[in-house]
Amino acid sequence: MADKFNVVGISAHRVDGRGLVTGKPVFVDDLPKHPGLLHVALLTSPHAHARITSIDTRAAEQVEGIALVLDHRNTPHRRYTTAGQGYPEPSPYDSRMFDTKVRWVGDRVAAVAADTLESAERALGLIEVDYEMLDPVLSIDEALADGAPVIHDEDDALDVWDAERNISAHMVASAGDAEKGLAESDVVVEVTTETHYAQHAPLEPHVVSTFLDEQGRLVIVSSTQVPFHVRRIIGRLLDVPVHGIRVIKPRIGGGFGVKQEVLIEDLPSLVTLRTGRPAQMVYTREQEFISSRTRHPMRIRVRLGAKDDGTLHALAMDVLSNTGAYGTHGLTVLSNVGSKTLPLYNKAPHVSFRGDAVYTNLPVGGAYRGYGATQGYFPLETAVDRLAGELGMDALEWRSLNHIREGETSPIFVALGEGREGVEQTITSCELDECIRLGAERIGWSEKRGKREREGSKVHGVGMSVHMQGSGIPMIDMGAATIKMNDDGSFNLLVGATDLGTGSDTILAQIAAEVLAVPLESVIVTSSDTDITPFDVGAYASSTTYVSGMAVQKAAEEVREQILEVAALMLEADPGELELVDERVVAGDDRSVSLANIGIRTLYGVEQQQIGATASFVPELSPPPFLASFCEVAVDESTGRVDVLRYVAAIDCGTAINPKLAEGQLEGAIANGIGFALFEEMIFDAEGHPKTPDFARYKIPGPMDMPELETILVDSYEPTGPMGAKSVSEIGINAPIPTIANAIYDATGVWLTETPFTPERVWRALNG
Amino acid sequence: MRITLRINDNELRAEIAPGATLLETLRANGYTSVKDGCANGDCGTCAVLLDGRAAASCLLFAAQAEGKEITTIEGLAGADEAYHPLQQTMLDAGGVQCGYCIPGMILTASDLLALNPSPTRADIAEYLVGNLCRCTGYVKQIDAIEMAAAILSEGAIDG
Amino acid sequence: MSRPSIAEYHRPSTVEEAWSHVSDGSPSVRILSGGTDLTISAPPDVDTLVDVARCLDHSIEARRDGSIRIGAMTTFTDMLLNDALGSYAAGVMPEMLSDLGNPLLRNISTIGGHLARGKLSDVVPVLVALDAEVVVYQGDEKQMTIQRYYDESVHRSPHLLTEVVLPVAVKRSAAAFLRFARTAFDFPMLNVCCRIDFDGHMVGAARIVCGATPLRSQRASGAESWIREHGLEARAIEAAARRAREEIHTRDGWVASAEYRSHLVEVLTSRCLTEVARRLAAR
Ligand SMILES: Cc1cc2nc3c(=O)[nH]c(=O)nc-3n(C[C@H](O)[C@H](O)[C@H](O)COP(=O)(O)OP(=O)(O)OC[C@H]3O[C@@H](n4cnc5c(N)ncnc54)[C@H](O)[C@@H]3O)c2cc1C
Repeated sequence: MADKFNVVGISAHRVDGRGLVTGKPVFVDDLPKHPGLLHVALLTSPHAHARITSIDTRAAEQVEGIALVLDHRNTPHRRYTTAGQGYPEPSPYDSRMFDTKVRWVGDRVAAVAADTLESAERALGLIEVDYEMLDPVLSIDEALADGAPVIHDEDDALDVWDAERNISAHMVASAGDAEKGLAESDVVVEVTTETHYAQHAPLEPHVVSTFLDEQGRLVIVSSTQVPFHVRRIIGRLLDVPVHGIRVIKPRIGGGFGVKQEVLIEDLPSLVTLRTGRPAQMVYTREQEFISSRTRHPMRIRVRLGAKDDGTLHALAMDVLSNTGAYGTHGLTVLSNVGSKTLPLYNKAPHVSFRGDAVYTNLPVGGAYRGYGATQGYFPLETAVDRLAGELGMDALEWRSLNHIREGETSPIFVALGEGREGVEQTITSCELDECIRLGAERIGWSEKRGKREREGSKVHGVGMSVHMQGSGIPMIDMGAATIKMNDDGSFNLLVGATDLGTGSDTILAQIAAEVLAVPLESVIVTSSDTDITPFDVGAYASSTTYVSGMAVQKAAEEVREQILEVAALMLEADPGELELVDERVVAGDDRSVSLANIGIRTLYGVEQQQIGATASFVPELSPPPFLASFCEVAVDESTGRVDVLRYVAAIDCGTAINPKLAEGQLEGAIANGIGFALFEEMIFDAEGHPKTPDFARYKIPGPMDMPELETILVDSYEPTGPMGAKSVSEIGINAPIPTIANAIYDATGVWLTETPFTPERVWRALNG
Repeated sequence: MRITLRINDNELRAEIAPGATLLETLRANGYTSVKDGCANGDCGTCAVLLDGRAAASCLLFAAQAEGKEITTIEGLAGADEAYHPLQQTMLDAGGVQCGYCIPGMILTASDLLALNPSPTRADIAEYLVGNLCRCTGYVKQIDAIEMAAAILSEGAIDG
Repeated sequence: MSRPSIAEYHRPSTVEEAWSHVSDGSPSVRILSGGTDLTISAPPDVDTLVDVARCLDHSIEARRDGSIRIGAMTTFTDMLLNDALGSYAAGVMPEMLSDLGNPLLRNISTIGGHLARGKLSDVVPVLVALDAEVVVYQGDEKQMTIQRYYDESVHRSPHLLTEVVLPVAVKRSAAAFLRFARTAFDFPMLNVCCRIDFDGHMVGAARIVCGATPLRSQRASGAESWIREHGLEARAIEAAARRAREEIHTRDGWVASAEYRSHLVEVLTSRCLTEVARRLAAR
């Protein structure tokens, strides 16, 4: 399919590449500092659960260079959510800028703005806080126990499901009758898994700088995935009208969901509003670990029931999610545990999903690449392997028999959406069989599976799993794009979409260039500036290529029509017989006119006008990408160490607009998933204090920790997507845990149900 | 204290706190390509070349670098070229995503290529073990360094 | 943790001058070598740095008799690339150094700073296994074993570590080092260095040293005697490893339990001794 394109399907250089490889000041903290800058520093709670009985900031205020001290006494009391989601946000309003209660080690207590960071930090040390200690709640079980301390006992929180019982959110969905279906099944397997706390760890921490422009408007320059949500949420929180705020996102050093959170923008913003001075706040790496967001730990039970012939008959999933101290993204991540996994096996008439997200006095869960599907696929895909085993079927064969296909639907699409009901949808492209076939071939499935080859104390195994995700949130997300033409036949593309390093500026420009028949260099991209670019929900839910890409395609098509109309006048031809080819409009005969000519003519000549258009797109569907993931492991039975030797990931993401960038998304997601599966882990002591708040203790994969990794982009075309594309960015992160767990079983005959698969944990499992 | 540093063939005279790290001093003087990813020696985003050797600038006091030649990414490409081969191949291979790790990654790779002009993929991974990247999974960055090694050793034969 | 505010930075050009800054033992004065430890973990009360780059040697000297002298300011990279160290005791030094930290660290951190810092270490077990000595300046020079340097807390007293000395090596001697960590760039949760001198018939010296337990490096002397008495046959190695497991003290930590560390002592000791035996046989 890709061969019908000229610019799409090419691995063009990133449009922002030059600045990045030459080290230009493109990140928030690199930009020139405004004179009079105030540095904002944060005092956080040393206790997991306590009430602030008094704060004395007088000594801090005396420190030289202190401009402002903020705490619960002089900041807005309005409850809100830090979740950077569409309005109204499907997350409870259970947060305050500063509260009278602290709910985890790392919760906010006070902030200081000063001329220098040193003064600010010195002042923080002089703030005296008295706490009334409360019993901390440090696990899901403790949270749900009778008589457990109530974490959100405030009376003004909104949309908390059952605060008395520490339940932040609750979700049920079903089709058929799962209990009956399980009873009717010939073979039933049940798996319960536990996944752990993990952190996104973008290399650039959260950083925000704020100032008042010449007209006194608040400008927020932020490393954010959601500039428009920042504008709205900060406006409401600080009582500034939307028209009084401009949010700019420059280059950002990774996000992975943790910057889909309006986490710190409020502090420098309030400092700037109160003092009139520019302000900046940068999280230290330690704060990034302690006072940021995490992946929700979960306990999930999956039950599968199949008939003797292998067809899935019933599928039940019960989820307990630990949302930590606040409920941001709690409900929607919970929903996605089921909504992104259960439709994959759509042959089962009986499906049920039920889940609770509970509050604890531990770090706050948030949006993290994979968004619940990562946790859900662990029990699901290991249960599938167990089921196939009990049925005497090969793992590939069982999946091929039961997975969803083009032209098919699942009742779960309607029953379960983003914290509410979903949207009906039929699969319009699915090359999962081809993904499985190619992946199996590359890993050597038939030669290696079940062979348990030994090499000293090491035993080898292969495992696999299959996955789907989505492409944006249907009927909720919106992306918009504006394109205008310049006098040399180049175009400005303005998008609200947020490139967080993914390369979305590049692929959106490729889509525009394709429609407008110009080289990529002729499309100048400006993104994510709320004053300049049209609206976009931002970078999350695997939406940008599909949703924002479609908006770009529509805008480009409208611009093309306008160009053809002008050309028709110039060439004295009928617009219908004209075509855009290689920067020219050509008529059927030899007549043609260049875009540069049209550009200069429309700006200065007779048909004077600005050629340009704005289009927006709200998806009705969320076509899932599909992935087949394979790996080979060597398990050292003496030490429990698991080495992933090779990894093969074959994906159906529709058209890859930029193949290298698409592969890079998959490779990066797999790398992060491998880290999560094997060693990345936030650990806490018995009082809830973090023990791993730096990269020395919280290890993320380095180049030597990666297996030989092969990604395969399977030929596919999604008819509802821009140029045939769907999403690619999140899906890969879900794969390593079940793929590695299945491979460990293949090697050792032992099932792991708790992550991460550290040597000690595997050693204990191997030794009963 | 007053110190004089040689950075990318320029002399920088600066008044610094004696406890200032090289990272802080470079960033405060406009060398913002040197990133502050952890300030703990764990991530490699602050790497610079010190007399040609890659070093974590967060693990050095600025005063220790006096008398040494400091190279940041701004000084890597020759005056007459747009890109150093490593910068070119990083883009060609698709090794850049968010780009935050890239200056440190490229500088460390240039140190490697000086020591070992034709490294294997395993050699590259081993030398970059302290340069973290959260976006790419390293596949394409290692591709890029292999490609640059080939370009540089070709040049060595021609010239 | 709040960072110290440093007021003074000295660059003495002689050892005597450096000593004059630190001899009174003030906790606020610190010797600065590579800086990789001081930059990130100097206590908040430190206000003076004494940069010894100009007064301490940074060369490696292979003496005729086979001993090696390493100046305290020598970086790990210079040690890693040094030929004499590469062939000493079957190359155990570069074997260990290539896994320590990463090049961005090894290019600047020094052997002197490393040893003086006295924390969890990959280097110390190797130096103990090699019977290395250190030269310490405290108004005058003293040479002592690396074990004494720590056992008598010399490393905590005011001193300048000026050299490390690897003794004359026995002809038929081999050593090996193993570390166990979560990732390739990580502090170890256990490491082991074994050295065996073997004249073809009898084991001479045997050293089995475990570090990162996470306590200070420990010698498994029972296991060492076992090997001296029973040689390096597979059964003897197994038995020695079991002994090591019993002798070596381990402690619970968040990265590994004491029980698991003890198990690793046995597994790694056995593997390390097997590798030493292989190296001896290959000679
Ligand atoms: C990111 C990172 C990873 C690491 N990984 C490992 C690892 O895997 N394995 C491992 O073993 N180590 C590891 N380390 C520790 C590292 O080896 C030490 O930080 C380093 O060797 C210290 O040497 P330096 O020259 O930089 O010391 P400095 O920071 O200069 O000094 C350290 C201490 O020693 C004192 N001192 C310095 N020189 C002398 C002297 N000549 N005489 C007396 N006192 C002196 C100083 O006052 C200071 O207290 C790691 C460190 C970092 C930062």
